[in-house]
Amino acid sequence: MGYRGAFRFFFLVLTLLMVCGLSQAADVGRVKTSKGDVQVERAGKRIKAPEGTAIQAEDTLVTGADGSVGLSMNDNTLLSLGPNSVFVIEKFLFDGTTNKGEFESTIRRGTLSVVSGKLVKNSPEAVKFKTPSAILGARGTEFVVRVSDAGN
Amino acid sequence: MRSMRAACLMVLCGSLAACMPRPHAPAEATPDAPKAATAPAPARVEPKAAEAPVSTKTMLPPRTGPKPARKPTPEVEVVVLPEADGKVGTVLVENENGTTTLNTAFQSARVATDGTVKSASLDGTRVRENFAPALAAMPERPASYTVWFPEGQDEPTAESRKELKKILEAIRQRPAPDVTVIGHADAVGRESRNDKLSLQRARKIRTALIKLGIPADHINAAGRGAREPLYLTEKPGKAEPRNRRVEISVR
Repeated sequence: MGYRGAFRFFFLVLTLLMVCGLSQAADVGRVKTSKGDVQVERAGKRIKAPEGTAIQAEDTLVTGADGSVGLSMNDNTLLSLGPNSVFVIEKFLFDGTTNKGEFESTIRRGTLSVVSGKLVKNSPEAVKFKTPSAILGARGTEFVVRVSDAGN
Repeated sequence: MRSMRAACLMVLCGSLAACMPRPHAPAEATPDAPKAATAPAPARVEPKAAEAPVSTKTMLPPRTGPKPARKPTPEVEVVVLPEADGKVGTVLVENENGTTTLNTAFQSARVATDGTVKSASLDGTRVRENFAPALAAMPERPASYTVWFPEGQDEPTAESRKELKKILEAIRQRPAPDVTVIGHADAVGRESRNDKLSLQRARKIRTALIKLGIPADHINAAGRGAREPLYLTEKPGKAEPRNRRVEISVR
C-alpha cells in the first residue's frame, strides 16, 4: 500500500486510540462497604460491586432487597444506599488543588444517606442531588433521602 | 514498513475489541431512508401497549407520537441530620412549588406525589431507625494525620516514628483505603532542594503504606516544598520544625 496507505492506516489507529482514551472514564470514588446484592451498571453492563470497587462518573449503583452499599468520593463526600435503591452518578468533577468542581446525581428509588465533602464547601451551587419530584441542594451537611414508589 | 503495519494492525484489533462493545452497524446506514422507515414504527406500537382501551385511542389525535408513560411520581422524604459535633447544615428542597429550606436537626420535607411540600420536625431516634440500613452502610469518616521531620531529613523524628506506627495501623484497618500523602519542608535552603526533600518525605511514607499491603495506585504522594507553611517565621528562610511535616489523609 506504500507510503500514503501506511500513513492513513497509522492515522486511523491514532484516532481510534484517542477515542478510546477519551471514553475511558477516570475513577471518582470507591466502594467502602458492600453487603448483599450490590451491583454497578456501567456502559449497559451490570457487574457486582464488592468492597474496593472503583466508581466512575455515569455509573449507576443498584442494590437488591438485601443489599446496602457505602462509597466515598474523591472529594471526601460519603454516600450510602439502603436496600432496593437505584442511584445514578451523572457528573463528578473534582480538582484536588482548588477543591472545586461539580457533582450531579439522582436517587431514583430507595434510600440514600449523604455526608457532604469538599465540593459542597467550595462549590455549593454545583452539587445537586436530584429525585423524581424535587432537587436537593446541600450546603455542608448530613441528610437522608427516601424515594418511595407511589402508592406504597 | 511491513512490521510497522503488523504492529498497527494488532493495536487496531486490540482497541476495537476493547472500546467498541456494540456493533457499529447503525453508523454505516445512510442517514435518510432507513431512519424514516424505522423510527415511526415503535412510536405507533408503544401507545397501543400502554393504553389498553381502543376507544380512547381513536379519540386522540393520531400523530402525537408516543405518550409519556403515566407512572405516578414517587413520594420523596428528606431529613437533615445533626453532624457529629452537633452542628446542622442546610438542605434546599426545590421543585415547581418553590424552595423549602431545612436547617434544624431532624427537620424533614415530604414531597407528595402532586408536588406539594410539607415540612415537619421529626423524632431523631425514629429517623435513624427508618434509615438504619443506609446509615449502617456509611463508610468510616475520612481522617488526617501529621508526621514531623528533623531538619533536612526524610526519616520522621523519633516521636513521630512511634506515632506513625499507630497511624499506619489505623489506615490498614480501613476497608479499601485511599490515601493522599503530601510532604512539606521549612524554608531553610534552596527552593529546589526543599521541593525534592518534601517529595522524598512523602515517598518514604508511601513506601511504608505499600509495605502494609495498600495497593500503590490507591496512594497519591506529592511534595509542596516550602510553599504551604503552617507557621510563618519572622524572618524568611528560617528553620521552623512545625513546617517540616507530611500530611496523610485517608478516606
